[in-house]
Amino acid sequence: MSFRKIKERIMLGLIAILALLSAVPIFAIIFSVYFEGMKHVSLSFLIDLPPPPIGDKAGGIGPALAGSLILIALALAIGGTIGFFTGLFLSEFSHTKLAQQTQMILQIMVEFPTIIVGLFAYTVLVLPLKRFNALAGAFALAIVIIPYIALNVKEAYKSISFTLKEAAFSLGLSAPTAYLRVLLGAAKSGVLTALLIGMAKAAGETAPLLFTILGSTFTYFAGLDQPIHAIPLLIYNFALSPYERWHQVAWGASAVLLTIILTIFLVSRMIIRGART
Amino acid sequence: MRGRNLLVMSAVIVVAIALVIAFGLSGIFRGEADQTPAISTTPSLITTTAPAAITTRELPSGTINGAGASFLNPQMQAWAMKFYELTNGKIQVNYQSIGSGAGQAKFREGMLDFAGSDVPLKKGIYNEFKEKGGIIQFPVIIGSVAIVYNIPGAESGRLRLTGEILAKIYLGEITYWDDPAIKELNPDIALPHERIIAVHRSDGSGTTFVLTAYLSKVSEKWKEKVGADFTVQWPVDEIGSGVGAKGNEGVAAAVKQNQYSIGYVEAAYAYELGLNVAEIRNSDGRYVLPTSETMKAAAGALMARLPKADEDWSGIFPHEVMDPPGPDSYPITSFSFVILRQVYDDPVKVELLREFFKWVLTAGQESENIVKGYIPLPPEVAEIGLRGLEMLRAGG
Repeated sequence: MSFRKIKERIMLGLIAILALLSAVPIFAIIFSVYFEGMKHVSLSFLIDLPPPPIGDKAGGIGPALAGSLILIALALAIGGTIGFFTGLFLSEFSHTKLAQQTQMILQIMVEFPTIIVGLFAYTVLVLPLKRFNALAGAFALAIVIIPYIALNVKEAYKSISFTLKEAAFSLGLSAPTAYLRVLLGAAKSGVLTALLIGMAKAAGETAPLLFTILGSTFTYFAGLDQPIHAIPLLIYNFALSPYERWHQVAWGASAVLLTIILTIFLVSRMIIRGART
Repeated sequence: MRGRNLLVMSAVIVVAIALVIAFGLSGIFRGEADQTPAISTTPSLITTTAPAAITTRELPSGTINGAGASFLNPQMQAWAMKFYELTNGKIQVNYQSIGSGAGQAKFREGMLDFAGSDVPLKKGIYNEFKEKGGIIQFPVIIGSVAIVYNIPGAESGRLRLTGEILAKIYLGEITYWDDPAIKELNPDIALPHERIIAVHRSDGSGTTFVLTAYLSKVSEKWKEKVGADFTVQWPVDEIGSGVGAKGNEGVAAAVKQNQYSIGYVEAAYAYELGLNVAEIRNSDGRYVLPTSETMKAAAGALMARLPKADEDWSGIFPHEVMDPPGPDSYPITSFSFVILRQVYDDPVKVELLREFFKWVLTAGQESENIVKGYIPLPPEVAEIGLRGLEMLRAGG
């Protein structure tokens, strides 16, 4: 084998190893979270109230899980709606100045520190209501996920072939019918994926919730204008405590959160694969 | 044409969303009015297991929201849990750990029913509340700041320090572990010639406030140059030997990870995390560890000087109570406080707050309800809060 060939092999090998290395942290995280966390997870863990710091009471993450699900649903309802129509606008009116500027702003928003979004929600929804509340949390999460959803929806509609669009409109349909009835079918998998990415993002965010929902120990849901809990917030609080019992609950909660997010990603991969075949 | 249709549609949707949000919000405001939980008319729920104090009367029901000191958090959760069980879930006390500084700020903005804090309100804020109907602040538990260290090779003995030396370390004047001043106090420990890494809190913290108040009391120079607050400018940072860390847990971790470091954490954290705790010289010249005996002794020595719950505590707290007299007093002992308004719009809130804190200050102080590492109040100090609770009232 010539020297050049050997050099090429070595370089390729090195690159392959580096590529593998970049995946190691992900698997290490997944492994350690499940290894430490799953032993604490049970059905009652998903339902019960959190335990006191010491004592042998098992306890659970009931209010945090319920709160997270409610917040995700609300954030998706607000952010999904706005994000979808923004994405549609970006795709179909991409030649307008407004669309170009909107897109630029959305791209900045993707990189925006989410803690600042939390502060914003605090100013507009917590201060006037004089109470930490679930709606402010959902609002902050919605702002965080809008750019992800909008940019992905835009790609989904962009990917529809021009002939199909032409065909849809040549049927004499109005624009809303064309976009939402006919073309949505073609963009379905992309739009669903966009929503799922937004959902996963909303499930995992801590910073937007720090200033908005306060957290709640006993209450699962008491109304949109009342404090609510969330899994990332529970992990943040319990992991920082010095108590072994709370560390265990934080590990268990991490495993639950990771399961939620991995499930969402698996579903979205399946949707994408289904669309390709 | 197509474009116009879409624009019209978009406009309709925007209006629709706006309407939905508007209705949603109005629903919230309506909801608030309706939601006032009625004082339950069902007679006592609990019959045999609960203490008599909450069995004989009718119980209000509802949630009270509080937040603040992270130090108070584990104990407050334990109390809230126990009270939740005792009242069969009728009274839910939601306490979140956001730090003393943030707790006071949010309480002041009217977003919390009560605040937990390692220090009482400052004079200016106290006066502001006084104009708006008054304040009630009282100790709920004893806390103290432990000085923790990590010197490899010195595990054999226990480090002894004085307040002056501690001040000089954080002032950046004593920079090596084998400084003559430290050596003199610790003849039995092999102190290495290594730079002292001084760990301190990076976030606003009641623990910092208590420690810097102590340093201000024992060192004139500290008082002039740095003073006491939730956050201060650490002189030791200027010579590059200071390390900032977030929360008690952050400082504890930084001390564990950095060899030849020193730091300060709430005593409960120091013991729970198994850190080396230094003995500190008290005003009687004895070297003491923060233990339940030395903290109780310090609290006992302070008793005569404590104000009433509706008075301004900032005159003596935390500066004046540091380094109390008595041979067994631990010098950096303080209280963790609960802060309430005197007047609440909602009469049910008043009932709920009174029920819970009355229990906290009586049965809650018994050893089975105290989390390990926390020290219950002497009954005379608990009395301050009980008197204070009588001042709670509803009004608008």
